[in-house]
Amino acid sequence: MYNRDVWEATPGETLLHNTDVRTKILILLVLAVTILLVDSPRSLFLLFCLSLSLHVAARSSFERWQVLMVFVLFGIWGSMTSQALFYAREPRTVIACLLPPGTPGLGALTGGVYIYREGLEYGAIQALRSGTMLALGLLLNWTTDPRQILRSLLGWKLPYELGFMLITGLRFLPVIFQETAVVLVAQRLRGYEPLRTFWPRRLLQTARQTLFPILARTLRRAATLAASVESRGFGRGLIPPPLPQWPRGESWFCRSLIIALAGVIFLKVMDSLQFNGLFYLPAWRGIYDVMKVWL
Amino acid sequence: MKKVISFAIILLFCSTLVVLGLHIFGVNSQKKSFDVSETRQTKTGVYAKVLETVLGQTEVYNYQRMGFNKGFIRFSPDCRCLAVGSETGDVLLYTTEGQLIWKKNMGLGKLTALEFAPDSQTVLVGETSQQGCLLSLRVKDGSELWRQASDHNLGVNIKEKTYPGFVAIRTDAQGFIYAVAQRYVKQADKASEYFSRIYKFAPNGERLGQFPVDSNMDGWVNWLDVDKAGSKVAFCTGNFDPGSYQYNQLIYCIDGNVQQLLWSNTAECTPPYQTVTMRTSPDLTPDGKYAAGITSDGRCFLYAGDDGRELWRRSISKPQKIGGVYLNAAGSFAYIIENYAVFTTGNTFNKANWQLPTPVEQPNSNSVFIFDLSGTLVNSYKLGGMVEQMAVGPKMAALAIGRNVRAKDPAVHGFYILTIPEAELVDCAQTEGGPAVAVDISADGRYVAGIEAPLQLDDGSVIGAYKLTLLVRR
Repeated sequence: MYNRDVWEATPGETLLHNTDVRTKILILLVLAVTILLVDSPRSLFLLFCLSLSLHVAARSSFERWQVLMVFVLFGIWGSMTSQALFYAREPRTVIACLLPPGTPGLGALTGGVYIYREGLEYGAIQALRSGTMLALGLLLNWTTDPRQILRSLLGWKLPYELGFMLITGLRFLPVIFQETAVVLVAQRLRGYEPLRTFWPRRLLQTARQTLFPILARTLRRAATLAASVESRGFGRGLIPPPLPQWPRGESWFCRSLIIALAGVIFLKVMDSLQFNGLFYLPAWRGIYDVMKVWL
Repeated sequence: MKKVISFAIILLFCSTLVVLGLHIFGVNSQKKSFDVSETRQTKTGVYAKVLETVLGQTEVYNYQRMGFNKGFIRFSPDCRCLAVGSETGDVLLYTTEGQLIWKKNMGLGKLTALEFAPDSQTVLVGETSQQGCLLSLRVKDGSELWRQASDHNLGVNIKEKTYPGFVAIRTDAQGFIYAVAQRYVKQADKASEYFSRIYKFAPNGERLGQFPVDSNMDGWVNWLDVDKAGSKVAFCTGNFDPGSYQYNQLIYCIDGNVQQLLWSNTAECTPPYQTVTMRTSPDLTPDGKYAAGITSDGRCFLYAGDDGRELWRRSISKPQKIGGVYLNAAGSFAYIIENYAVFTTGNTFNKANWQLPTPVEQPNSNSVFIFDLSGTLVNSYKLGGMVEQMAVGPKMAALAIGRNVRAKDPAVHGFYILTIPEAELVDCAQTEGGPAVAVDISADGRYVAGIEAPLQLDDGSVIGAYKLTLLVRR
């Protein structure tokens, strides 16, 4: 995880590596909007599996899969755990009682701590959303040179400053992990064992002793970067180089994706109108039935 | 160490994905099949469990809730198939060996009725939805043969979500279909408004008649029955608000073409009640000579099928004033099995506030009463919990026993099979704690199937699951 190569794009000869960067960005955007629109756990799960299968197609290395799995697991279990405990909507079904309300002190104070079934399900759905976005974002990052992304974004008239910030953020991500590795190694060489115990006080001390050096080094790098880009005349009179021809097949694929997304948005609007009792088309009953399961 | 951590991450990731996938796609990991010759999981061992399978996740209710999760079960007349309608909107078709043939989701519709055609080739499904349809599904593959909507008669208000729906379906020996559709509106001033209609359909879905022809009934109709020849259709109307209504009789009988009223009859109210209602009756004998019904206030009736004369009435749970409140056990089901009229009662009911536990149990609550056709009580059987549903077999009755809201004893929940008229327990299959909510028995009495629902106890814990149990006679 602390290896910088894990985070940066590497050249490859897979279909995803050779796909035009604009196509990849558009796929990412379309899927991002789709997973926000879709509420069906089935569809979200399939979209998540699709994002994982793209990593298989991109032949992501084992180390990258490990990174992806760790982040996704943190997302899924973190979201499920928090929602299972704090889910407040109705109906909610208690599947386990962690702290009975009759427990002296904390029990009376909290009114009991329970695990709710609906909370677990809701957390899983939210985690599938974030997991899909994470997987797709990492895929774009791992298969695409950031300079190409910047060129494409500038070609689409994105303000230079915003594009620059985005790419800088992407490039800084591996740097931060590398800095973390350096700080941890330095602390270990001094005989410090950050995870020897899990006492809250100790953990706070560990966090302070780890995060402050990382923050300091990152700020130093940022200052250097800022001075560097300023000295080169940041954004002034820049004429972005022309973009290469967008392959015709990919261009048509993206257009059909946008049309499909527009269709999904339209269906979602119709479904919402029906659900809220505002408009219902009897002739669409079959479509409503399908939407109930998949949207 | 690194390898171990990597392996643990992969294992956790894969298992998380598998568990999520199984849960989301409803792949049933909780299906249990049993070897009939080896298992003895019922009280007497006369019946043996063939299958237990979870039907899905439903909202979990507690003892304080008046209504409860529902389920629909019907064996095909040829005793080869079992149709199941779940609270989750699925219609499932099983063989009586426990093999799933197909599963179909009803989408927007909420399942409200289920019936087999007499030739066992189609399943009729009633739903409540924006259109309130009656659907005919092919038994072979679940494909839809036809559907008939009721919204153009009963109306619909999609904003207030007051939808029409088919709530009861019956067939005669020729395969003609008789169904009740109703819509219920609760006004802002808490007054109730009802729209009901009786329909007759040909086996191919053609609408042959409707009653009333020109307008809807202004009463609540939840049940109907038809004789074997299809010459009489009996149903009851009810209104939970006192007032003046056009259809103010208790029981009606119309001709087989659902055009003409043959007879009607009524009964006076029993204090403290201001209305009289039969919720899940009447029942007609196959020859149409008798009709039996039971009112919510605990009175049971037998009528002559030809002219609607009241042959007799018995009070099996008269409301009694105890401790300043009226208590009685609500009458629920009425069936005529050969020459005996069978009536059931439910939980003890406090008219003043149904949510308050009653100080005592009505002695006749949660019981089955068997009368001969002259009105003599032959036998009775006290069950520990609410009779949630009753089904009739050859000289047998199968009962789904649910919550006893006073005793709150989950041990009584289960599927009971009694002989009629002896009222002897043939067998009892207890659930895993959840109340039984639906039951059916095959025409030959060989198979019994039931649905159990989960229940939240007062301490917050949940027992039972929403699942199907299939029993076979050894």
